[in-house]
Amino acid sequence: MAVFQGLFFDGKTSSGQPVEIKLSPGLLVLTKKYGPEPSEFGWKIARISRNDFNDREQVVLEYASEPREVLEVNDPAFSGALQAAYPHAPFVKLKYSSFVSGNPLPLIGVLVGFIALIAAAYFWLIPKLTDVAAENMPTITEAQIGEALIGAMLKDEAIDSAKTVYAQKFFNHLHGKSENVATITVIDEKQANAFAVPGGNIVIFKPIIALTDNYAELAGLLAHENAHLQHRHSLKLLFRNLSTYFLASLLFGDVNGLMAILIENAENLKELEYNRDLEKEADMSGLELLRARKIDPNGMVNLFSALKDEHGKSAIPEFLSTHPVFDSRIEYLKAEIVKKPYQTQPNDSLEYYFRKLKE
Amino acid sequence: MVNNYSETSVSENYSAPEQTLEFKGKGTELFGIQLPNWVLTLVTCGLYYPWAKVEILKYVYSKTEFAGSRFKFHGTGKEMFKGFIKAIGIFAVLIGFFLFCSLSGKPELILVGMLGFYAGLGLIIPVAIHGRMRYRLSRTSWRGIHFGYTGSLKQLYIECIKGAFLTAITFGIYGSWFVVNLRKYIIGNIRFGNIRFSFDGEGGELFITHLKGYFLSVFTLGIYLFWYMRDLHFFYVNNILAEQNGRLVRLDANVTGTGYLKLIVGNVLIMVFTLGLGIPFVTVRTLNFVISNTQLIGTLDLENIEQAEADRIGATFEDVSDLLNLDLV
Ligand SMILES: [Zn+2]
Repeated sequence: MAVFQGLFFDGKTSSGQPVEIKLSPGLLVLTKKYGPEPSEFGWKIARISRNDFNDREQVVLEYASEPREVLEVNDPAFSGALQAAYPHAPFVKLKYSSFVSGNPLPLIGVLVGFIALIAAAYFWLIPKLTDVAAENMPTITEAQIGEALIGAMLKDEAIDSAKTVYAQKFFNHLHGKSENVATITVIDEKQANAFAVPGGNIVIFKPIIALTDNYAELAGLLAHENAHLQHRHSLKLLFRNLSTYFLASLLFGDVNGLMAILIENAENLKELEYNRDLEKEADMSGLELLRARKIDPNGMVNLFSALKDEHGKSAIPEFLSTHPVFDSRIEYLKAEIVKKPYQTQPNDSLEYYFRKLKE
Repeated sequence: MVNNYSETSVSENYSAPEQTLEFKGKGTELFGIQLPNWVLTLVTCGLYYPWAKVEILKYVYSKTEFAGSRFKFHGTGKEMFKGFIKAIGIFAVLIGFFLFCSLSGKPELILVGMLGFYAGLGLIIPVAIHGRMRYRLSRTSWRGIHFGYTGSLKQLYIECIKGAFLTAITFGIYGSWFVVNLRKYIIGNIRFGNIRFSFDGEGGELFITHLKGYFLSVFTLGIYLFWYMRDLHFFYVNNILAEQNGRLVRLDANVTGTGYLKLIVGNVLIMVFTLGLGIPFVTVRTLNFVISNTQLIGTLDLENIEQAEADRIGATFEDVSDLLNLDLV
């Protein structure tokens, strides 16, 4: 049987006593080599504590005595001998990862699974959760968020108050309800654009009014934006965007950043684009409003054609998919109009306010 | 058999190893330990963090060698978890208070929220330092002998409040003296068996070091920063004394400015090219740089360090301190 040399510490002083170590079944037999009377004593294998990070250079064992005794062995063969003699003892189970010391497959498997989980959470679970949250948010809360957002967005904008009044009247007649379903604001901006803000706000950039040739086109635009509001699309979009920010600030431990997010997003919201499904939903709902109010649905088609031309003219190269998007929208709108034809009726109020807006 | 024992035979067979410090960890090993820990911490939304932390500490301690023997960390994930939960709780209350006040929109309330938040943080710091020293040192041993911390929380509070007040009214100038006094108090209360420690640096020395470091770094467009770090390293390490039965031993660092330059440039490159995954390699390089470049001037009587009564305490503030990223000693 192999005999190893080690240093024994009794837990009372730091003095190391040289010992000889024999590995017998269930017991480490230690013999003090020097001392008033050389003595042999045993460490029960079951009472030796685990040490997760022993190495070949030095093995340290600790015994559950009172006080705790320690054994140090600086023999490269000792680690292997312990493994062979006591394969199930806790102190031979090292916690070096399998990634380094052997089969890396389990760890890689866990890692790949985890990345898949994160990806699933990111692309599916989080959008789903934010949609559910947006759909179930109380109207009052939505209005509060909207108020903060619209305040931040319009802070530095030049509001055209006369056109804002006409646009509001135009919208009220389009909708045909007595109360304000949404608040309209017309601002001076360079691009032709319009967007919906949670809490019932629609912001129109003046150039888009110039782009429209008749009230049906403007009605198409407002019906579309109103549909975004009714379906809470802008709230969903905001939530999705916030979730990314929220995760990022959690990851980087930036709590103060969270505070600024809402206000920051007010600016970003203008640039955000709804995905095609949401746009199509808004187009179809908008079309229904036009049908209910007997307004010419081709207004919406003409609006998109005008927007498409406008994008073609601009000197800044647009994102490549813009045109196909307009084309496909024009196509499915035309198909829908052909499928459900109806008799249109001229609307004098809309005509009147449209003329006022074009002045 | 009785005759076998004699002084000569002991020294023939067992020669006392040199009293040097060495770090034996490997980046690959630490990486292998960290990677599954990261995954588990992420999968459990951070709840696994205390266990991951314990594993890293155990690894680092067991690869740190003094005079041929390894250190050992005896803490457990469960102990650390209790501290972790309390830390999270305290932070949740503070942040909740802050958010509540800021969301009100009233300027006075926002101010109250901010002041309350920072006052709360300030009041936790001494508790965090105290708890961390008590916990971590009581769980550290070498050759079966445990470290311990004998400082009182009350005294630490007095030091902190006095220091913070003087630092505030001197526009930060007193900061160097504050740091040094804190260090004197904390290190002065570390014991290892019958060995006591002390710190004999002075605030003036630290202040001059900062002043010199700042101006030379500005004049050399930052190149002097590495030598500035070396000077701080000297100040913090070389002023630590250990006293055993009236005999004094001093720590002595022999790091160089070029050494710091290599360390930091290397670390930055590793972090950039591994997108942060190489952090275990950075840790090992840094520990190796600090530990292996520290020596002892004088010798300790390593045969006669006696175990003191071990005190058992909770892990409460271990991780409050880690969350605040306070790095003492
Ligand atoms: Zn839209």
